Amino acid sequence: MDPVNDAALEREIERALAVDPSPEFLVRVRARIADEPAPASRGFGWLFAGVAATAVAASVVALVVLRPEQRVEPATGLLRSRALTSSVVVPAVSRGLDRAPRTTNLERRTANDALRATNLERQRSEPLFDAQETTALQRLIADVRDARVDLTPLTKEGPMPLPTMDPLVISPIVIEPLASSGIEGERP
Amino acid sequence: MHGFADRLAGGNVAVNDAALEREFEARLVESSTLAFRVAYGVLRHRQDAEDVAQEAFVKAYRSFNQLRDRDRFRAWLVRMTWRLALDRQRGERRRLARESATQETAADASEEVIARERAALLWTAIDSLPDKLRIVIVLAGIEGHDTHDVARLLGIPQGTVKSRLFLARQRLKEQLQWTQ
Repeated sequence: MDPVNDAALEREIERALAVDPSPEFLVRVRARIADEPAPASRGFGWLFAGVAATAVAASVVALVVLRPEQRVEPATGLLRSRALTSSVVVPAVSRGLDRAPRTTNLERRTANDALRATNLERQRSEPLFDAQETTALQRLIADVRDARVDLTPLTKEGPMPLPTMDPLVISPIVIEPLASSGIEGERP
Repeated sequence: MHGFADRLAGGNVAVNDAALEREFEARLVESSTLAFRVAYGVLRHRQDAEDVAQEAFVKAYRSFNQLRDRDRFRAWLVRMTWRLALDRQRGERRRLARESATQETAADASEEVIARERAALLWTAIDSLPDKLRIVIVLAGIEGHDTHDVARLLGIPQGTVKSRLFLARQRLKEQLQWTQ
């Protein structure tokens, strides 16, 4: 690079930019700024920033606290419907418009655990008999106890006769001893 | 907003506001030429450059709470002025009357004509540079800014300024084909 050319170029540019604003410029700027409302003082700005930060923090905490409950409660239906539709849903055109919360592996695992626990609990508390049958049985027991139903005819008839059967013959099982083939551990 | 601020902090707000006004006045006085020349480097029209610089100062005043630091203020002002000037230039490309910066410095008529032609060629070459190179060459040509000053004003590393300045000068020399 030629230093003479560089110096000449710099000089030329400096000369081209050596223009000062008119003396009225500052006056006009001051007049324009006088029409503006004063900028808020720093203390107020900090206060506003503090309030905004607190609000944001509160909403984040609320989101974190409420989110797992929303996931677990409708777990069965929500997860099943997700599984069914997952093969049909096309990737969203715009991610910005996709408001559905994305589930991470950890969240999904937590939801599955919750679902399993709910099912177990339901199985434990589920009745083994039909509700109508239970009611009928309870009513029968109560009626027998209160002598509203007489069961003596059933007991008088005695046990039901059983059909005669031929005795079952089972041939004894004989176990043949293994023939020794020389050295132990070798195949014959 | 003022009334609310007053209720919150009482008389301290008025004191803070007065301090703010004083600080802004100081920044205005020391940076007015810089802002004007940055705008002039793009527009080459005195009145347009003043309008743009004024607009930049108004915006700076509105955000002065975040710009009280001197270096930060000047850097922000330069970038804002540059952006506003570019916007205006793009909006007014049809403007025909361009001032020549050398108009007042030429000694006699013939020298004046030559100087005007050279300046016109120079500005055409500067205008053809990409924005990143253009702002560096203009800032380096204002008030004797060195690469360190330009780096601070643009918020980029000094090495980047040096390489951009080198590239910009190379391109200008290629276009102008100067032989001293």
